[in-house]
Amino acid sequence: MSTFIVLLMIIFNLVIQTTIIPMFPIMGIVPNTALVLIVVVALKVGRTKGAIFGLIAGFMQDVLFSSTIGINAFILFFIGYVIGFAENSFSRENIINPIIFTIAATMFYNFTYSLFLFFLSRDVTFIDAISSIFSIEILYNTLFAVIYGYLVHIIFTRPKIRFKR
Amino acid sequence: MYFFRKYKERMIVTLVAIILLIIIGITNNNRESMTFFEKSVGSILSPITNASSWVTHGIGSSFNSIKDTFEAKSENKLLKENIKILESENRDLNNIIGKTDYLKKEQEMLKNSNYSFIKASVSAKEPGNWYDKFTIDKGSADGIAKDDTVIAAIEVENNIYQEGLVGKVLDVGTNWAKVATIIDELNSVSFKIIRTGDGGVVSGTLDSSLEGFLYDFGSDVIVGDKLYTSGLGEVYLKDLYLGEVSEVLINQEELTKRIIIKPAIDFKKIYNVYIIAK
Repeated sequence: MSTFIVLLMIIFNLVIQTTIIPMFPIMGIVPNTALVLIVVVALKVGRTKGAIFGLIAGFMQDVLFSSTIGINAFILFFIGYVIGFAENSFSRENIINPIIFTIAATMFYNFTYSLFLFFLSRDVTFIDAISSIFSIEILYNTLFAVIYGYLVHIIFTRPKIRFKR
Repeated sequence: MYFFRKYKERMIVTLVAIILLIIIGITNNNRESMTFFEKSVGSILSPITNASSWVTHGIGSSFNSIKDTFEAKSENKLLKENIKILESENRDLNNIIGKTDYLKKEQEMLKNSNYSFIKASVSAKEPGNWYDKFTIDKGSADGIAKDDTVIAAIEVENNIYQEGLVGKVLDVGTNWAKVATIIDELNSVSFKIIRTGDGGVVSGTLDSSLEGFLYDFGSDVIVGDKLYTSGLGEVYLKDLYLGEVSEVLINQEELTKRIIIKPAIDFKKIYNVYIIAK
């Protein structure tokens, strides 16, 4: 059930991210909400599912919008997998965790992306890479981490008592 | 097999990563056509693509319209500023047109004028900070009568000289006359705005400015409008320059538009005046 909800969220996020969010850039920078979603979901569902969801979300993004398929899938796959290790390490109600992991993930995402672009012999300079890694996107993503973290928290906090196993 | 069981997960992750890297490597080059893989994934995701593009269109356009309204605000501001600039330009041009009209009329008037100008010099001034009344060195012997209009040559703009209203003759002696200026508190002048033709009355105030009101509350008056005598009441002659509006005060309760006029004449520096003899 939660898998289904997360898949719906991924699709919903894809729609939101490609339609509404580009309308509100801060200094020309838009947040990567797919990344944020994978971070907060992976914190809830663990590394296996986190990796799978990351793979799915990344693939959707790549197939629909990118000419080179697999970069987003690769990065989100690893982010989902690695952050999934932290599944049970922290208090679940804490809002700080999604924020910290989002900051780290955003920097990792941009670092890896620029690395990919470099090795795919695209025109990316060192300055570009640095400025994308330490950009305002971190703050913008953090904002969405709070929102998505809260949303995911609501969805995954189910009644403890169930009437079927 | 123990090795595989122990590192199963890591191997899967590595395998996925390698597959992804291969896909990236394959898809990075310019491809003639879509691969089978991409085609199949695309066909699976095409409903989503369609939905998302539909939603993109719907939500995007609605958000665009919201954005447009926001932009319209700033655009509106910009256009308003432009309008202001154009309006001021227009006003200047209107003033020029009005002035040429006036000057033409003046020239015509002067050409066919029955008025005779009597030159007089100011002999004495009423003590005070400014000169509401003064006396001139010509009197009834020179043809000056009571209520004659007193003017002075003033420079309206560069090299454009006009008659500026100074006041009227209050009392006449044989070789002297008393002149009440328009900034005298008891002296009221009927005026019209040359741009619009709206009329009103000005009278002097305690300081050296003129204050007046317009007959019509809805009349159009702006700062910088030039005022001329209207000739109503037959106290003053028509089309004499009074000054320009320096302030417009709208009194909502009394439904009057008060204006403050900067007189064209510096009343502290009057030495020679002309009297128009009737």
